[in-house]
Amino acid sequence: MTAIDDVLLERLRTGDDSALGPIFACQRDKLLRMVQFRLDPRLVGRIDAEDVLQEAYVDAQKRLSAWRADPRPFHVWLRLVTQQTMVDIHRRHLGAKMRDAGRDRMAPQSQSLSGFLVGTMTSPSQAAMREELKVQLEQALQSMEEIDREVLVLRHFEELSNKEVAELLGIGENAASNRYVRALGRLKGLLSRLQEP
Amino acid sequence: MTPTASPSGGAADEARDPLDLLSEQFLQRYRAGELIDVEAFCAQHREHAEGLRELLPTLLVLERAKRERESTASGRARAQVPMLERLGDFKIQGELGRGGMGVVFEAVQESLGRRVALKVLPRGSLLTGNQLERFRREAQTAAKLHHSNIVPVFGSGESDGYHWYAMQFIDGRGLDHWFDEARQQPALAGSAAFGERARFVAQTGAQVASALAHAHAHGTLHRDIKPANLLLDGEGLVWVTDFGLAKALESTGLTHSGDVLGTLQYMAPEQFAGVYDARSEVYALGLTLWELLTLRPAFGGSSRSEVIEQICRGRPDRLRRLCPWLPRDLETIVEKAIAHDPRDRFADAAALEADLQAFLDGRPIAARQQSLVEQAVRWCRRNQAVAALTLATAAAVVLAAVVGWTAWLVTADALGQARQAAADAREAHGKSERNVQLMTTAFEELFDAVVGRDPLHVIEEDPETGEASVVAGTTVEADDVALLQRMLHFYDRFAAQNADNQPLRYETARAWRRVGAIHARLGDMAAAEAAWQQASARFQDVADRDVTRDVAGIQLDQAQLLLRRDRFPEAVARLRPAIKLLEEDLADQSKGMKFDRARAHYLLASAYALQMRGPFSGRGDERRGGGRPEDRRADGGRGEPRRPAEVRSEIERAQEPLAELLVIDAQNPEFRALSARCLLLLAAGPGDDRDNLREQGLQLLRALVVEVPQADQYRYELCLELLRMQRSRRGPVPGGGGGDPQVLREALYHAEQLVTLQPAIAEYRVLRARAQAWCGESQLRQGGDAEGGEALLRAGLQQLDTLLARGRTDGRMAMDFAIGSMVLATRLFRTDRRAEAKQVASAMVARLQPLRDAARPLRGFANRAPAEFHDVLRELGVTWPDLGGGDEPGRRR
Repeated sequence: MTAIDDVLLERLRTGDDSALGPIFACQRDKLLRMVQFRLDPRLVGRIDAEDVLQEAYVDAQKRLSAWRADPRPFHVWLRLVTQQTMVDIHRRHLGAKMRDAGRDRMAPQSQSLSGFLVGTMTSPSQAAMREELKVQLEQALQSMEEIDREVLVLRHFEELSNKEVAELLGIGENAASNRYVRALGRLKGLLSRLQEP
Repeated sequence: MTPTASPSGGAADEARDPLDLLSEQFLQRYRAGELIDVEAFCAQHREHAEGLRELLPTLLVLERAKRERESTASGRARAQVPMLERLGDFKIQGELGRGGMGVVFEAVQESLGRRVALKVLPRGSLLTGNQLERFRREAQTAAKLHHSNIVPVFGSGESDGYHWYAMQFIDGRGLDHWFDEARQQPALAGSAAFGERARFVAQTGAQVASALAHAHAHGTLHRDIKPANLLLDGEGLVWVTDFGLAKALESTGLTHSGDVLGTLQYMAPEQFAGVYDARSEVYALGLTLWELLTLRPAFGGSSRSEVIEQICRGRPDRLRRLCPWLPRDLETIVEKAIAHDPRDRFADAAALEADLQAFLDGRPIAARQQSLVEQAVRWCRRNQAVAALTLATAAAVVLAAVVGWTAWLVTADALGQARQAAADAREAHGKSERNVQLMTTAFEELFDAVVGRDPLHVIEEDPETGEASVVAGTTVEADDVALLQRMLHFYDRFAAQNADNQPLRYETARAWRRVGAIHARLGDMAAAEAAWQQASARFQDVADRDVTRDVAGIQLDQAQLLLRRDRFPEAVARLRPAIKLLEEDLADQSKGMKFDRARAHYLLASAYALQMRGPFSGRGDERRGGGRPEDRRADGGRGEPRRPAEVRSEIERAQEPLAELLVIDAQNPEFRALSARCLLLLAAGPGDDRDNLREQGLQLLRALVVEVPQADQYRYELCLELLRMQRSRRGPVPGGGGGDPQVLREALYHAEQLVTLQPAIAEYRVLRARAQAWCGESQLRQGGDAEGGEALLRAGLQQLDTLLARGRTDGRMAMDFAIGSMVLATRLFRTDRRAEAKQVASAMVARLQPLRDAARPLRGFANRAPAEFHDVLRELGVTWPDLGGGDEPGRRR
C-alpha cells in the first residue's frame, strides 16, 4: 500500500481529481507517521493526527492544479502540502507563540526524539533518572546538525527510503546515504556516552 | 522478500555507503517481523562486520523507540481477556461476545442491582494518558445520548487493571447474526414475504437513522456503524451500541487488530482520504440496509487492500438487479444513501429517516426541500474554480451548520445551568468548540471563494510553497451573498450566545469585515458600510489579541470605496487615523504590517491627487469625468487643496515599505500590484519621466493579468488605466483627439473578459460599454472600418443608456454617453441618415436632462463641445440639454 499506482497518478496528472482519494489513501500511513511525530507537544490531545490529515487532504485538493505544473514527484509534493497544513494548524492554535518559530518547517524536535529514545532505554520505575537522561539526550541531539537529525527521523520514524530522503532534502542519494551512516554513528556515540554513569 | 536481495537495486545504490545498504537490508528484515540476530548478520557480511556492529544496535534503538510508540497498545492487546467472575462492582454472569475491542460480558452491577452489558478491554490496552483520557471522554459523550434506539451507557472505569465500559443490557443480538441466519434460510418466495422483508429493513433503517440523527445533532459521530453494532431485540426494536468507541480506541490499535475487515467493509469511500462526517454514517447505514436486503456482503474482497480498492473505485451491484421485488421507493432510498459521492447522499441521517418513514407510511418520498446547508453545497458545486470547495467544505458546512450549531447551544446551555455537571459539560463544550472552529473554517472557505483570498492571508502566506498566492474570487452572484449573509447571522448569534468566547468574537468580527468586502465588490456601498460598522464595533470587544491591523484595515477598505465614489474628504478622514494606528508600533515590521502601511499611504496619495486639480488632473479626470477649475470652485465638498509635492511624498512613503517587501518576496502579486499603482499615480503627476513610469506600471499590471488571470482586480485596473491614458489623448475638449485604436482595443478586450468573468459586477459592464463606445468612436474618426466602428459605438451607447436608465449616475459614463451619441449623430447626419441622427441626439438629450444634478462633470459640456456638434444639433432641430454650469445656447468656444 505504499507505492503509488501509476495509472492513478496519470489520471490525477491529466485532471481527474477523483484519483486523489485512493492515492492519498496509499500515502496515508506515511503521512500519519510524519504528523504524529511532528505535532507540537502542546497540541497533543487537542489536535488529532487524523484531523491534520483530513485538512491536508483538503489542502492538497485545493492545490492540485499547482502540482500539475510542479516537477516534484507527487509523494514529495504531498508531503510538503501536509507540512504546510501542519504549519497552518500550529499557527492557528498557537497563534502568536508560533510566530517566532514561523519559519521553522516543522523540524523534528530534538525534545520529542529524545523522549522516545529514553523511553526505550530505561524501565518506567526509574522515572526520575529518565527525566535526567532525557534532558541530557536532548542536549546531545541538539548538538547534532539539524539535517542529520532529520535524516534519522525520516529513515526510521517515517520509514522513508534513502531515495525518498534524498528527494525530500534535495540532496544526492549518495550524500543522503553518507549522512545517514554518519548520523547513526554520531547517535551511537551520544547514546553510549549517556548510558555510562 | 528475500533477505539477500538488494532492497532498492539499481545503479544508484552503487554510490551509496555499503553500510547503509546493509543496514537497510537488516532493517527490512527486521520490519518484516523476522527475528534477526545482529551477530549472525555481521558474520554474514564479514567485510563490514565492524561497522555493522557499531551501527545496528543504534538502529535498533531507533526502531524500538518507534515501535514502542506506535503499538504500545496493539502489542499487548493480543493478550486476551480471561473469563472473569467479578470486576469491581460487577458480578459477571456470562460472555456475550469477543471482538477486536475486547470482550463483552453480561453482568450485574451489584450496588444498583441492574443488569448491564460490560465491555472489558484487554489489560493495559489503554496505556497512555491521552488514550485513557479520550476513552473516558467518549464514554461520557455517549452517556449523554438519550434516545430510544441508542443503548444507554452507564459509565466507564477501571478495575483490577481492566478498563470497562458499562451499558444497559439489551436482550437481543447483533444484526450480523440475523444476517447470518437469514442467509441459511431458503430464499424468499411470495410477495408477502418480500413485502415483509422490505418493511423490516425500512423499519430497522428508520430507527437507526433516527438514533444517528439524534447523536449527530448532539455533536457525536458513531464512527463504526455496521450490523454487529446494531442490536435487534425481541420487540423488533433496534439499538445502536458502541457510540464513539471506535474513535476512542482508534489510537490504541485495538480496532485494528481483530475484526478489521468487518469494520473496513462499511467504511465510506471518502474515509480513505481522511474525510468523515455524518454522511459517512448515512453511507454505512445504507450499506447495512443493502446487505439486509440482498443477504450478500456488499464488498467481497478477501484482503484489506482488495476491499479498499473495491470501495474506492466501485460501488455495490445495483439493488434492482439483485432484488427485483424491491419497491421502487425503498430502492431509491438505499441507493441514495450509498452514493459514492457524499454530496449525492442524504444530507444527513434525519433526511434518510424521513424518507424511510415516508416509505413505511405509504407516502411519497418527501420532495426534497432545499435547506440552507444544501444551498451551501450546491453553491460550492457551482463554483468549480474552487475545487477544494467540493467535498470537504461541503462536509464542513453540513457539520458546522447542523452539528456545530446545535451542540454548541446545547453545551453552552449546560454550562450555564448545571453547576454540578460543569466539569462534564466543559468537556463536551470543548468538543463543540472544535465544531465552531470547523464552522469558521468553512466560512473562511466560502468567503475566499467569493471575495478572493483575504489579502491579509495572502501576505502572510509562506512563500516557500511556491504558489501564486492570490486566489481570486469566483463569480459573484447576488444569491451567494444572500446565502453568506444568512449564514453570517448564524455566526452572529453564535457570538452573542457566548460573549466570553474570544476567538469566536474575533472570527465574527472578521466575517463581518469580509461581508463588507463582498458588498463593496458588488458595488453596494450602503450595505458594505453597514457591514463594516458591524465589524468595527465587534473588533472593539476583542480583548485577546491585537486587532490594530483589522481595525485599520477596515478604515482602508472604507477609504478605498469612498475614493471610488469621489468622496475624497471622507476618505482622507478615514485614512489619517488608520495610518496613525498602523504606525503606532513601528517595531512591528511584519510583512502584513508593512503592506498595510504601504497601502494606506498609497490611498492617501490618491486621495490627495483626486482632491487637487492641478498637474495631477489626468487621474482625477478619469475618476471623475472632465473637471475644470470652475467645477472645483463650485464644489464645496472637495476639502482643502493639495499640492503635487504632498502627493509625491505620500507615494514615496508607500514605496519605501513596498520596496522592502519586494526584496522579501518579489513574486507576490499583491506587492507588485501596489507597486504598479504607485507608479501609475506618479505618472499622472508632473514630471519628465511620466511616460516611462506609466509604461512600467502598465507592464507590471499586464504581467499580473497573465500570471493570475482569475484575479479580476488587476485586469480592472489595467483596463481603467488604458482608458485613462486615452482620455488624456482625446484631450480636454470632448470630441477632440481620438485615441490610439490599438490601446483602445486592448482595453476593450480586457473589459470583455471582465464582464465574462464577473457578470454581476456593474462596474465591469460600465467599463465595457465605455470601451465599446470609445473604440467605435475612434474607428469612425480615424477613418478605419467605419461600419464596424458604428456598430461598436451603437452597442456601447446602448449599454450606457441602459445603465444610465437604471440610475447609475456616474459622471464619466454620462460624459462618454454624450460624446459618443454626438459622434454617432454626426456620422449619421453626414451619411444622409437624418432621421436616425435626430433620434440619437434626442435620445441623448432625454437621457441626460434628468441627470442634471448628479452628472456634475457634464456641466459646461456645451461650452466645450466642438462647433461641429452644435451645428449638427441645430440642423437637426434638437436643443442642448440644460445641464447647468453656465451652458447657454449660442455661447460657443
